[in-house]
Amino acid sequence: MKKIFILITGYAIINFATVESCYAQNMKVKLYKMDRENYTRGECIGFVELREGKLEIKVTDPEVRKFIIQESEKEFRTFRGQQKGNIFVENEVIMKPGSVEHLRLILEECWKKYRIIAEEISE
Amino acid sequence: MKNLKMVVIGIVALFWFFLPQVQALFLYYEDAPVQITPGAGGSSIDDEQNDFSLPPVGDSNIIQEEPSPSININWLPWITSDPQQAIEFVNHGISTGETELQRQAVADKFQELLPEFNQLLSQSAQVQFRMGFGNDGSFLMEYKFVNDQGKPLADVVFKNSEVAPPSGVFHAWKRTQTSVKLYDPETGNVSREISITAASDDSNNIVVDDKTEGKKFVVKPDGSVVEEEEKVEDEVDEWLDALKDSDPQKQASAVINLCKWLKDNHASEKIAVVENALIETIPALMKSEELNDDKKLEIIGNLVDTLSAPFILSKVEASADEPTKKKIYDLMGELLKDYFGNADFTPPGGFDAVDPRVVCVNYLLKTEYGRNILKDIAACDDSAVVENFTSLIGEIFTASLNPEPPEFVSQERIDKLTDILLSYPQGKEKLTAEILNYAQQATETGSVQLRSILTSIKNLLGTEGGKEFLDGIQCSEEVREVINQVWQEITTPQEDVDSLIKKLNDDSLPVEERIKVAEKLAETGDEKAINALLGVWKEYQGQFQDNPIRIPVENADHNLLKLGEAITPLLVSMDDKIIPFLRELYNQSDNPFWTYMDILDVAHNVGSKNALALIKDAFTTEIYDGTSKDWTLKGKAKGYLLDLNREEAREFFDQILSQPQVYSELSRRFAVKGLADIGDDQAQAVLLDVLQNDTSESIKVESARALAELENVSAVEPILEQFISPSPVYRKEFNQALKELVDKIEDSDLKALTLEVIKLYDGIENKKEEEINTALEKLGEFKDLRAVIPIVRLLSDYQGEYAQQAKTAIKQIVSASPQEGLQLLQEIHSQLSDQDSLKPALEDLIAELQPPQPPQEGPVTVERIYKEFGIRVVAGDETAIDYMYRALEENYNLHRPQNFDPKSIMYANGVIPQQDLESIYRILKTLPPEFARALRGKVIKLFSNVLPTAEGGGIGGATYIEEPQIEKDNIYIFFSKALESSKKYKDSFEEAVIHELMHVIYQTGLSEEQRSKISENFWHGESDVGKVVSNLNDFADPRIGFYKDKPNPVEIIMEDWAYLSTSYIVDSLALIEKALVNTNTGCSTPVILPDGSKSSVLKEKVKFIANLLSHEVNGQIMTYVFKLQDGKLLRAEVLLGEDGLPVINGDVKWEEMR
Repeated sequence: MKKIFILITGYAIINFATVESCYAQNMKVKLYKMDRENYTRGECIGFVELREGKLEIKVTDPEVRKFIIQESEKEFRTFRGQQKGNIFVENEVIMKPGSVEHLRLILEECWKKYRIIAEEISE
Repeated sequence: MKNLKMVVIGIVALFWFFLPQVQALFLYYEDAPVQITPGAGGSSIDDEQNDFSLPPVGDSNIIQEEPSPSININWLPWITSDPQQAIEFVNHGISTGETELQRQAVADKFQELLPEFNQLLSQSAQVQFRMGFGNDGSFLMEYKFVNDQGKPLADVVFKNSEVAPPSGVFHAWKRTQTSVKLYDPETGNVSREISITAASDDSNNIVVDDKTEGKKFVVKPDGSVVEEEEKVEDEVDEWLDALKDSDPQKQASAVINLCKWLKDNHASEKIAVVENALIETIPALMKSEELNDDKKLEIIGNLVDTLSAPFILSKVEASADEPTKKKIYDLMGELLKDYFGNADFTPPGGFDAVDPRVVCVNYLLKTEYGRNILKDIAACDDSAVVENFTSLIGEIFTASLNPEPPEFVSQERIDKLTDILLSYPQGKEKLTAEILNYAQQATETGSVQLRSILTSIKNLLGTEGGKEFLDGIQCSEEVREVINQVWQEITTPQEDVDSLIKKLNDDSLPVEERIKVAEKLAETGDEKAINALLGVWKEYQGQFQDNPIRIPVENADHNLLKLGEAITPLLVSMDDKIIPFLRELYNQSDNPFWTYMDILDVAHNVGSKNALALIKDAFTTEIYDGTSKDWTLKGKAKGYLLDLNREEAREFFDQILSQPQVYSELSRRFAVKGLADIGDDQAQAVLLDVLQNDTSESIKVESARALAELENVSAVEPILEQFISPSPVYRKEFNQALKELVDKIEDSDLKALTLEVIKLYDGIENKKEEEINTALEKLGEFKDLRAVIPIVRLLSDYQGEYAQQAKTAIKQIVSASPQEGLQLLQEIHSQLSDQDSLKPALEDLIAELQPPQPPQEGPVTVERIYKEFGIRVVAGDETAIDYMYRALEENYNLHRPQNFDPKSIMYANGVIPQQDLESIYRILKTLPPEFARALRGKVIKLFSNVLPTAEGGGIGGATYIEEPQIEKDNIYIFFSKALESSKKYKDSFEEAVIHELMHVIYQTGLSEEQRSKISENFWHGESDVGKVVSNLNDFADPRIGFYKDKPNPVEIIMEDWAYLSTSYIVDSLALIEKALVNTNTGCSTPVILPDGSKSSVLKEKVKFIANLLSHEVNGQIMTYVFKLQDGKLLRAEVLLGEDGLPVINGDVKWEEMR
């Protein structure tokens, strides 16, 4: 009985550590509109912060905000390439909501769609 | 179940043999409960006193002594026993035996060896006992005695083997082994070891083995005790002592006993001592008058029966006096007679050197006295003796003729045996039979033996006597011929060849005599004779001036000239011997005296079929010594071949030219020269064929030269076609050939054209631009398609210096007959390799000349894609999936899921959905022409879903490039519109396709220089250390999780290129603007350009791609920008700005390519 209890506890600790590691990376990003004349940062439209797997969105532009909220709930799949010799393989990679990679992908879409510059802020 | 059975048997056995002890044990246990120690074999008696560890299970002393060490024992756990009871049990157990007397004797012997045993055991404070069952049916008991400090005192193991049950109900046991070990309590080491073992034979003896002292005692059932080893050793020593006795009778008995002992103990250490004693004693006994001959005969008879006999006899022979030796000979004769007189006599059946009869014969053969004894046996009246004697001598004779190895044949021994055989009629018959046998075999080996026998006959009977004997043999004509031939060789004096060679080289002798000597030498056919004749002939050759006209040098030796002239025909007559000899010389590459040329000279002079073959071999031999020797040799061989047999030489040259994979380039060039030397119509036809169709440029050049020398005007047009050669050196050579032929051309148009081509390439050679331009203008004006090939290389070669003029000239030529012209250019294009720099230039020209194609109507089909782009689009099949998994396992360690059904990712019925085909078509149409061109000949295999892997996730697009062993130039795309429409994927089908195509373009569509430029800039690990997270070029950034464990820069470069170029094509404006923003905000790694201006890595990458797509339109440098809108790829042509980036004005005209 005692052994089983230890096993369950150990498993729970390991499991918890794994889950924790998924959300270990937090990120805070400041969003700007692009200055179309000078090709640099323009008006700041807010922040997006990823903490403990949860996304906090503080964006003034309603269209951008709506887009981010809408995308942040989706699970994405994409590809990451590798080459060995003359063989190129694109591995399927799953981006789950709450991960840094997922957020990066959304911000990339923001750039393409709205020319939103995203700059990471160190805390 | 098996263990349980064994336990039951064990307990029964325990009661059967040890009833009182077992009872005592159980009585004891009433007071002291059984302590069971888990894992008894490896545990200790007392946990607090660990210094006496019990042996592990199965590691029992008794097992080590077992003949079968693989016995496995199941031990029951240790139990504690009463020490006093245990001592009694052990003592009882030690007294083993079949009878009371034997048991007592064993106990006494043990007590004698170990008087302190019981006293030692009485010091024990604790005793452990256990039982075990061996898998051989044995039952074991072990006692361990320990003192009060936990130190080991003794270890006793009894092994009882199962015997047939006397009652048929219970098993019976017999004690077969007892092992006793005493320990030094201080060190824990074994201080004494004794085993008591039942003899394995039927003697019922018990062996008490004191292992520590190295003594063994055999206790017999009658209670007597014998020390085992000493008995034997004593016996030999006793006999050896007896040899020193003064009584010859005792000595003789001892010698006989020792000989018998030697026979049985040939591996004993005492052999040397015994042999030496016999060598000393036997001669004296042979001389002794007190011993009768029968005793002496018994001694010799026993002696020759030992393996030591040849050694002892040879020593006796060396040391004994004559009368003694003769006595031994006589006795051996007697012995042999006895052997041969025995009705059961059988010969040894081959040469057996240790057979006593063979030993005797060999001994007797040594001296004449001995041989006479053998002859006496042969001459005796007893026919049975003679018959058996002949049989044995015959075997020895045959064996002596066929020793191993064969070169060990001793002529002296054959002589001696032949001498015996010749001494009596049956022997002669045997000899005759042997002669006939070896003569009939008529093989090389056979003749060696025949030669040996005949030599013996010659030695024994002389030449005449021998001939007489041989003539008396009845045989066939063929056999007679063989015998006579060998006899002739043996009886002809050998020294003649050497003396003849001396005479041949003796300048003081008259030349006529030397010529006769040469003739005699030639007749012998001897190798030395050939060598000598060739030596003189070589000197004779040296008396002439060089070819072609052979005139003797001024100070020529006239005698040598005469001699050489006489030798020349002799060499020819010796063809069959001299060519193999020359071939051997030829193969000796380090031969200091004979050069290849000398050998060819002789072969040429011999001129036979064999000589021709040798010269042919020389022609095709490659001597890679970095000198011109190879050329000279081939030249000479070619000349000799033509001289000896022109027709055969032509065939030989044809054969060489038709097999480029067999013969070297140099051999083939000389073959062309050879055909040029023949020069008739047939040869010229072959040369023309070679000029037009050979795969080697240098061979074509050689043929062109040859045809020019032969003034073959029909070669002009084929030569003009050879200007397509990528090597400027060869073009120069072809031009030279044209110069030699141009005056002979009768067709005035062709002559004028040829003259201009000559002027053109002379101008290029001398770098005279005016001449080049004039020639190109004139060639353009001729409007003769024959002029296209000599010009076309100028489109790409010579640093493109004359490309524009050449293009103008070709356009002018083609304008007269556009269709044929275009066809010609396309034919040229199809023959060029992918790496040929002319290919893209020619493609551009073809594109310019091609009439505009009306847009095709109707749906996009696989055929249409293939027709327009040269790319095959097919639905992926199971084979492709198998190959993919093989490659994935091998390269990425990714495996196929167990329940994966290939059909789940294949298009139904192998039909690709129309929308996928249209997407691919639009992409190919939209890509710039140079990119699309790089994809020609490739195969796109499409799948309807990603390829799953056992480890989770899957494989999307996969590009395979140039895997020649398996599949070549395939692009696999595991993606589909259906997946895209599920909205889960961030990458669209178009993006996946473009990405994979960009990988292929990197490999096949970019120059080395362009690729190296990519390597400089496209390395994400270094390129973009900024805080802007939404930068486009972080796809292959090693900082991203996916790339963290893949720090291979090459991979990153490739993927960076593919992702970035795809990004450009999917959304050029987003990428260009990102580059500008990142440069201005410092978010992309800053770069200072050579002109001092600031840029960034990302901007430089974008500039690189824009530059790659640049092209000229009406004098302006344009480039392309793209965007993907609603699943459709759009393209716009914009100016390439001075800053290297596309100029984007407000109104970009996007065009959907159809």
